Amino acid sequence: MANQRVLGTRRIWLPGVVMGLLAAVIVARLVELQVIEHERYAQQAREELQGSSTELARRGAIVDRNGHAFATSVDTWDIYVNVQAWTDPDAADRAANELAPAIGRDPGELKHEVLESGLIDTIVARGVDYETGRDLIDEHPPGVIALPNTTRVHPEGDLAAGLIGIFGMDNVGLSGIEAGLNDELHGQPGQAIFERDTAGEPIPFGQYVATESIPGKDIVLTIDRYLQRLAEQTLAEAIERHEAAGGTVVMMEPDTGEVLAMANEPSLKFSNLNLLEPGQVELMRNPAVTDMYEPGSVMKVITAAAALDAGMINPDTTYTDTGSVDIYDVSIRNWDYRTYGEETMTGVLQHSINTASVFMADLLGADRFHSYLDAFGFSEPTGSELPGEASGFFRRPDDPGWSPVDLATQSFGQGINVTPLQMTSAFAATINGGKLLQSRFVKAHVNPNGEREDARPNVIGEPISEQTSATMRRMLEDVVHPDWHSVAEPQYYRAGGKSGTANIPVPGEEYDDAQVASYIGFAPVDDPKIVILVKLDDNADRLTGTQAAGPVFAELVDASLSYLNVPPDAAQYTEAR
Amino acid sequence: MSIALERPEPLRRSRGSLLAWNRFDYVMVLGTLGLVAFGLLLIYSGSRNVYDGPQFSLGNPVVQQGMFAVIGLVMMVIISRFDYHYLTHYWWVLYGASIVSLVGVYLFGQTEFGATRWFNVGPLQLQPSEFAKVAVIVTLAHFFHRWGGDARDIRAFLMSLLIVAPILGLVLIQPDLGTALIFAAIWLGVVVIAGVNQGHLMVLGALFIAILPFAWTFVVADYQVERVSILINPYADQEGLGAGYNPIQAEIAVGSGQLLGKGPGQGEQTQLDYLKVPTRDFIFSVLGEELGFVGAVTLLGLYLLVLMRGIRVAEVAGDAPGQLIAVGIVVMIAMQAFINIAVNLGIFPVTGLPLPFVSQGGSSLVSLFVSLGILQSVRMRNRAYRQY
Repeated sequence: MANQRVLGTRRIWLPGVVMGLLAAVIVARLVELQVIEHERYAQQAREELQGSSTELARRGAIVDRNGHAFATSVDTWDIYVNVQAWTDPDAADRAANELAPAIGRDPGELKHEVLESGLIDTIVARGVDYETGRDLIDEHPPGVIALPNTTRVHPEGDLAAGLIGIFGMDNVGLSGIEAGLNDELHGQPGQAIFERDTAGEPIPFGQYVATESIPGKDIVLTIDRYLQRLAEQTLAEAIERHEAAGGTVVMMEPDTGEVLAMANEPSLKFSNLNLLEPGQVELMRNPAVTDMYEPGSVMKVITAAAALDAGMINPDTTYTDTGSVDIYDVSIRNWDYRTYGEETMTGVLQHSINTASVFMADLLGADRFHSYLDAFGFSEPTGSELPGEASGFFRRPDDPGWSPVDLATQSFGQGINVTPLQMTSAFAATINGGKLLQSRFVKAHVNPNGEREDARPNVIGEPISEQTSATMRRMLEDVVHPDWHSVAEPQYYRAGGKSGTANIPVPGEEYDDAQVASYIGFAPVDDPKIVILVKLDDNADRLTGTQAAGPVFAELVDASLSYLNVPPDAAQYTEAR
Repeated sequence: MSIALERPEPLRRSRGSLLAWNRFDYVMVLGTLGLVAFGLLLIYSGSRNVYDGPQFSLGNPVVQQGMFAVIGLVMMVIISRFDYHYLTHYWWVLYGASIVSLVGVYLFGQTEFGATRWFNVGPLQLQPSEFAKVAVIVTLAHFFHRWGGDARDIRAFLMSLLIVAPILGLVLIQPDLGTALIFAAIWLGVVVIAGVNQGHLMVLGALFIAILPFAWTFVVADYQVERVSILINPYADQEGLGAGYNPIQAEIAVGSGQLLGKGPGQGEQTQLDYLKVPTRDFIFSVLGEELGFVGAVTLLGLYLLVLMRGIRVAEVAGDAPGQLIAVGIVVMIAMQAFINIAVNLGIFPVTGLPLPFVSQGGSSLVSLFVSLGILQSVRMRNRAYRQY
């Protein structure tokens, strides 16, 4: 009895069988983890171990045509805090007290932000200047990481801010040249890879593989900083003088399509940049290329050039104005409700007779008139480097809602929408010998190694003949310098040009009371060096294009051409005395 | 019920040829020493982050573990000299002491990581449940022996449950689900070998499944529920070091070890402190990472060797108590090893069980050697109690 054994000896190995099965389960799992999926886990281990930080490339500089910097990048540091080093409250306090003054923050607030962010690495300061960053690296408060970055500085202040534009923290352009030429400017980001422990600290001697970042290209603009400043200041004064809501000045070299200056008001200001303000996001647009307006009588230049080129008229062709033209039941009248009687085509432009431009467009017919508009580039973007260019709009006979009245109004610039840059570029084609050039803001790209690639003028088309263009120059000269005194006459140069006064369409109403007063012209007449468009939006003093924008044009011609060392026209000079 | 206190079984005086050192299971001991050696290497590797003192110092966890191993070996030899019937004879002392110490630890023990499992005695941590495992094995063995080595009788079956229940309950309220599971496995192993009626087992199993949902809701602690759910999706809690952190890191460590491992002291997961408790609960992950699949399978082989030798002890043991004690000890070691490894491989919820003979910890190591001593005692006396 005492030495009785349990029944059956085979059963004694049952635990052995179970153990064998359990061992098989473990081996199966080991095979799965270590043999089949080992690459995945090895990868996870590496990833966990490796911190990597993207080092954004130094962004290319943006300089004016003479090499003066509008925007350039300087070395700074971004400061991060690794929260795992701050889990101990004492250590966090010490580190926060050390770090906070250097980056100009409150220690308590800083600590709170780091601990509450829910991130492992929290960025606490951007663009910390180079010296401060070096000091922080030397002191090395626990958990504080400084990564090199660059900060954009604008040596010319707010000059051309709206044109230059801004970019985001990811080094991607958001507006202006920064966006339009982002691919050239932003370069290739590099990567730093380091092994780190659970505190996120790089391991000493941990493998450090870094792909060097490749700096972006520098961009040489066609803009001249002097002319840009001139345009901005003159525009600002004119806006104040005429109590306008805003305005635009564009200066272009007619033979190359290079934009020498482009001013908009209101405009983005680097000195007062806060995109959280709703109004400021609006300012990221460059209205001279993104916003359309009705050019008004300025369009008569194009209508006349088309009619001339098609051989329908010559400068001395006469037209007898009766004060109005009836198209179906719509009566089109002159802007000043005057009746001019018999006038030459030059006189038509001088007096800006609406009925006469209707006559010219009628001679051409809608199809021919529209193909001229196409040839002048009014149906597509100018192809400049700026983002978000509008293509312009006018109604054609096969569009819904077309009426012959549309053709009539388009001839004097109503019911047709264009951008200021389109208008400038088409006007340049009218007076430069008939070539439509791509509007350009970029004169050259400069590679990081100093290689310079110059951009060449790009002829898009030839809407009118050279001869028509020469005739247009004469006719437009007579508009600026009529037999009577005109406020749009420059003092020292003979110029050509045309005013425009258009009503601003407002949704829901046919025409609002608001108006756009503009003037576009060129100088000198014999060898045009500059085309200038002046546009004042909603000027409260209700002056017309000639009255409000004309003097601004005259002032800009004198100032810009003398800056460009263009000799004054002697005759004009003496006459002006 | 009266359980008569009786004198020990009459021991044979002339042990000479019957109690022979040549029946001492050296293979089992060698296998065990292999496991301990694995442990020392891994503890060295896993403790480099926390210990940077001199190599030969009592502060070095490797030295400490080695010393405990020596103490354990000595204890094993001493205990193997004693007849295991002393244990079964004084089963009530062992059993009573277990209950008292478990109640004591519940009332006065050290709370760590939310569970109360230890007494601190000077520099030592004593875990009463380690002792209670042996006590339960001995008590069950004795009980079935008194019942004629037979668990087929429903009364014997229920009585055996009554023996385990109080201790299991005390362990559960610590709370220590892992150890409770070990007790359940010990009980199951012993009653199966004692010839339990399969119908009884099935009814009990059905009852268990029936009350499981209630136990899940009312008895099982929240952290245990969480551990089971992170087993299913360890990535669910991603905030900071989420609840799934340890199992994820263990899995990554093992998986990234690949076939041959990264080499001792070369595992980044271990050395860079991604693995927590790398010398205790997650020591197998260190093994997996640094010694790879080959190392892990070698370790498994050592376990199978030791445990199969243990079953061999049960097979040849001279009487029912010896057999049941041997089975109980084998099941105890096997389940601890399995659960610990399964946790490391992410196929079992996290429980705080050490890897037998390998994990750092004197209390566990010494009590394991004591169990081995009991096994050896059974092994060496197989003929003395054999009835042909």
